[in-house]
Amino acid sequence: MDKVQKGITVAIMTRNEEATIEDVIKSVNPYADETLVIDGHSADGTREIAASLGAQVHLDAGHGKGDGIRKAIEVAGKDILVFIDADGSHDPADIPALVAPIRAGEADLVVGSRWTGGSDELGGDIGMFVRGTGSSIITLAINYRWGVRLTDSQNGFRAISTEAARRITLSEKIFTIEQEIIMKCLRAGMTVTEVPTHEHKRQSGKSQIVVWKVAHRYIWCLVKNLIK
Amino acid sequence: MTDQKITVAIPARNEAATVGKVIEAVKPFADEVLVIDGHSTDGTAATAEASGAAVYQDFGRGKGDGIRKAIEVATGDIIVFIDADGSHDPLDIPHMVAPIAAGDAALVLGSRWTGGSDELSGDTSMFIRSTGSAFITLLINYRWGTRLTDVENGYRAISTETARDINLKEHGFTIEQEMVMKCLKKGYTVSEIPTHEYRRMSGSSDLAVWKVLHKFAWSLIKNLFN
Repeated sequence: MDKVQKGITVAIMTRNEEATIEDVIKSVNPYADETLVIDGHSADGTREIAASLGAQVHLDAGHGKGDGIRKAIEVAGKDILVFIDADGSHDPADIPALVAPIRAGEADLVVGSRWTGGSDELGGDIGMFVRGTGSSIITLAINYRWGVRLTDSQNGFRAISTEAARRITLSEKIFTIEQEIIMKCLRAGMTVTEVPTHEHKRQSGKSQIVVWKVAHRYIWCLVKNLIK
Repeated sequence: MTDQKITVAIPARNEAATVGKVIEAVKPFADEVLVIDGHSTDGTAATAEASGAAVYQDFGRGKGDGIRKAIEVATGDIIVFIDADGSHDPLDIPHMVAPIAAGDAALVLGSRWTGGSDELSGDTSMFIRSTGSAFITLLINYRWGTRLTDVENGYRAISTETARDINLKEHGFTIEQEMVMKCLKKGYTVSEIPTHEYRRMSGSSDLAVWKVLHKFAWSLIKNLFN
């Protein structure tokens, strides 16, 4: 890992997102000094499209989004690292709001909240109900444990000081890394805040979260990190 | 906005600190502004009158009473319900009214799920309210084949004719879900728009979750299976 320069790295973790990656990279570029695509071994044309648009493409170890995030932290060249999803559900226009508190020295990690910003995805059917409720329980547990008042512990749309990210050791392989990042930052005494960000319906594809298969991993990750 | 006449109704109890500001904020969108006072003891009624609203008293049994009174006395074709504490943004009113004026819906709800809420999360009682609300919404969706996200938000618009047809009975906050279920039961179209819920400008919620949980459950069951 090299020393970082002042600026914004935007990292897009991808796996089989060829339908949307071009739009996302183009919409993100105006806000980024450096655009990274960390690819989880896509079987489609995701990497080729990203490279053709001038993004720096890296492969992760292929075990999940956690791997992708760790790779981004390792290779990021700028001092603020923004994570954004590859499916068009996050609005790049929120990036300045995410970055501002870090730039001002007021926070180390800023998470976008779908609770205060609204979500077009997270309501209405049973799968969403379970995810929403589970997410709320986890957020509540984090709030009580560390005396914070967060509302969304799971949203992948967030910004972190690259240097702070390198100080914590992340081990989760899958989406559970999102809550792990928050808990480890809080445990290290860092400041974690939120800004409202809206989650739009993804432009194509569907969620890769299969709730029933991974619920137990979320609980275990929570317990592990809460009680240390 | 539309050539349909719009009544904006503000049910209020002990909201003297904010009701005047809310009335001023909704005036540009309303042909008629009503404040239904739940027997306030802090001068809410006088403040409301001074701000130019028509003030009525309900029977004092809860927000349900207030809503029923508004439905009874409104002279508009469309009634918009908005809270008295400044948590709802009047700029949403035209978007809420448009589908009704166009004949595409009889009831339009403002959704805090798609619009975001600064109030509804972070501690245990908010968690209970939010989860309970999501659960109720889910059951309504499965029962009537809809895809609603927020059936509890008081911020909504309804065609006055529909409101009078559905014969609402609940006294308290349970009227919000009752209104949705009774509209769906009678075949009326219910849709949503995103609306943002701001921190209330003053005061605290009159909803004591532990005291009313059973009422929400009972109201739900009654209407689901009727």
